[in-house]
Amino acid sequence: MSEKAIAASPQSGVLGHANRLRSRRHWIWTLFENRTAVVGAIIVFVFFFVALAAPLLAPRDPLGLDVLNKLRGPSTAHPLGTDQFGRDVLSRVIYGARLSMGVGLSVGLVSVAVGLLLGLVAGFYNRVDSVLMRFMDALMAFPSIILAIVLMGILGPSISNVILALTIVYTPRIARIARASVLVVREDVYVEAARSTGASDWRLMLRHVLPNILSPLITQASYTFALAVLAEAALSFVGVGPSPEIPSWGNMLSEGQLVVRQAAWITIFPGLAIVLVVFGANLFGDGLRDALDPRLRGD
Amino acid sequence: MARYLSRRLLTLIPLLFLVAVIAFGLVRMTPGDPAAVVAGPDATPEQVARIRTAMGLDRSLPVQFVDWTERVFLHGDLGDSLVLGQPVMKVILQRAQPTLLLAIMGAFFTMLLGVPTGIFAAVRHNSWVDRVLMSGAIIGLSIPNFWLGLLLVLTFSIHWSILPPSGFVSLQDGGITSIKYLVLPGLAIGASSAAFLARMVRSSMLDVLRQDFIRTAKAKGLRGRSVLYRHALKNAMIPPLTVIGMLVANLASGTVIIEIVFNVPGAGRLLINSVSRRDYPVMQGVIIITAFIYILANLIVDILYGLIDPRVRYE
Repeated sequence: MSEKAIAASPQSGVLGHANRLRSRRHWIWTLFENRTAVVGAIIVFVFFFVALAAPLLAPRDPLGLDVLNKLRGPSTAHPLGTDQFGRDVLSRVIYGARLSMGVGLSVGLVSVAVGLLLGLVAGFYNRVDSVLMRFMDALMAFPSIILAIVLMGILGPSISNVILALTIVYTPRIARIARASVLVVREDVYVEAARSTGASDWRLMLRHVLPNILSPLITQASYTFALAVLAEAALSFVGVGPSPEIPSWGNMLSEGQLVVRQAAWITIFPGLAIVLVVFGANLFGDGLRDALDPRLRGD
Repeated sequence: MARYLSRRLLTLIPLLFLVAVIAFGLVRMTPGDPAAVVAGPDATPEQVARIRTAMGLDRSLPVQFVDWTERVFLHGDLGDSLVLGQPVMKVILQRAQPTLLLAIMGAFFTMLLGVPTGIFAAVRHNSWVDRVLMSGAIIGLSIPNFWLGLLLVLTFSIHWSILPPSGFVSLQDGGITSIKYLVLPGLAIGASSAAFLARMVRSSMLDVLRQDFIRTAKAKGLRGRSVLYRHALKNAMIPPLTVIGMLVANLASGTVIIEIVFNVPGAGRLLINSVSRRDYPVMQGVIIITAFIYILANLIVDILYGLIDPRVRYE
């Protein structure tokens, strides 16, 4: 799509676009050269794989009760031990990846998509801009987890409501970043050129502006994924997340806390899983940001 | 400055208005009839109708909104708790002390850990020290605060028995011992904010260290330490000021979760309980108060910014 935009640009803009084209190719390469980003991506992909392949990987039924073997420490039969109902902690951690990764991915994608749309509209239409952005500012005045807890209280506990609540919480920031990028790109010569050929606002937005503001938003998607995984765990932990029967890392921690003195492993392993995934996503986000930021290149 | 201040205060009006709209609207998002929810499943239609009138739900939405906003903004009246039967404001204030103390402790650890880490990493830019500190900062951003809290309890309370694993003693009752109860939760609350601040301080410090006046200071023969602390640090601390509002929000969010881990009878616990009891006025009260604190913090930061940084000139 960006090639089209460049082809449409007049002479005066060619140099700038050539640079942008070069840097566009460049950042993918810098991303691959950026070891931390690659490590981050690998960690996140491993967890996605675990989530998808959970039924194949889990040694036992994550819901299977075994009262005779409750609160057993890590052993060959149960590599990560069992919880107070005798359920296999390893299998539960593996199945827990499904919820965390699913919620993180959904919130990351939906809030970037919605934020992008709002940012485009705000950046293009001055009249909508002030109202929309003041509304986003007002939403951002509520501390994220507190707003999410209240939204869960109102919407009721379910997985889709967790996704909805966290999307409401994280979209405003993305809309703001998207709008700021739109305001810069909108003034570029190729947008003017496209406008002069009679392209409609929507065509300008989607074909010319959108491809050129995507990169900072991909970074945001990866940070938002990380935040959403943390937030989902926190909501489950305090008991306002999805139903406690679902094996999720937050739910496991909430139950593990009750027996933390006797059976610390129930608490330690799901927490480690969260830290690893979020760490991976943050590493990837940082690598992406560095690859995209020309000021940081060569550092 | 006076003109800037008045303009800055004017921007508060639409913001506060929209915050009120959201806080008011949230409760109206409840699926179904809020009065029926409040009345419970066994209520007769007459009871539901009575509650509807008591909550003002029988009037039109704009009338309800104007009435509600007037009470909140002009009288500080957040309504009555549906479960506790007391004014929401009173209920929240009763639980404010533990929450405030935890947040202050969290802020203390945020500064204590965040600022020196950032400075040290910047000074040793691209060395192994920098890499270790910054990896630590990313890990700090990746650890769920409640899990860190549990690990701290396992280490310092269960393994070493140095600090209490949970609970709270008010300042009036405990004096200095009450601080013992705040250390672990404060650390758990502050860790991620400290990591965030450290990254911010580091990049700001790096920006300043690259500037001409630093080279000049070095060229005129000042010792490295003097350049660092008298020239660089003063300027490097200005950009991190802008995120204080965000840090306040972080600390508030962290406090809510950590109160559950450490069994602290604060406003966060009240919020969680009111969610499970469907006590809408309390939920509404808690979010509107936290939003006000956030807005106030940002206002103070903006004013400070103008006072501290002479380059910021307001027209």
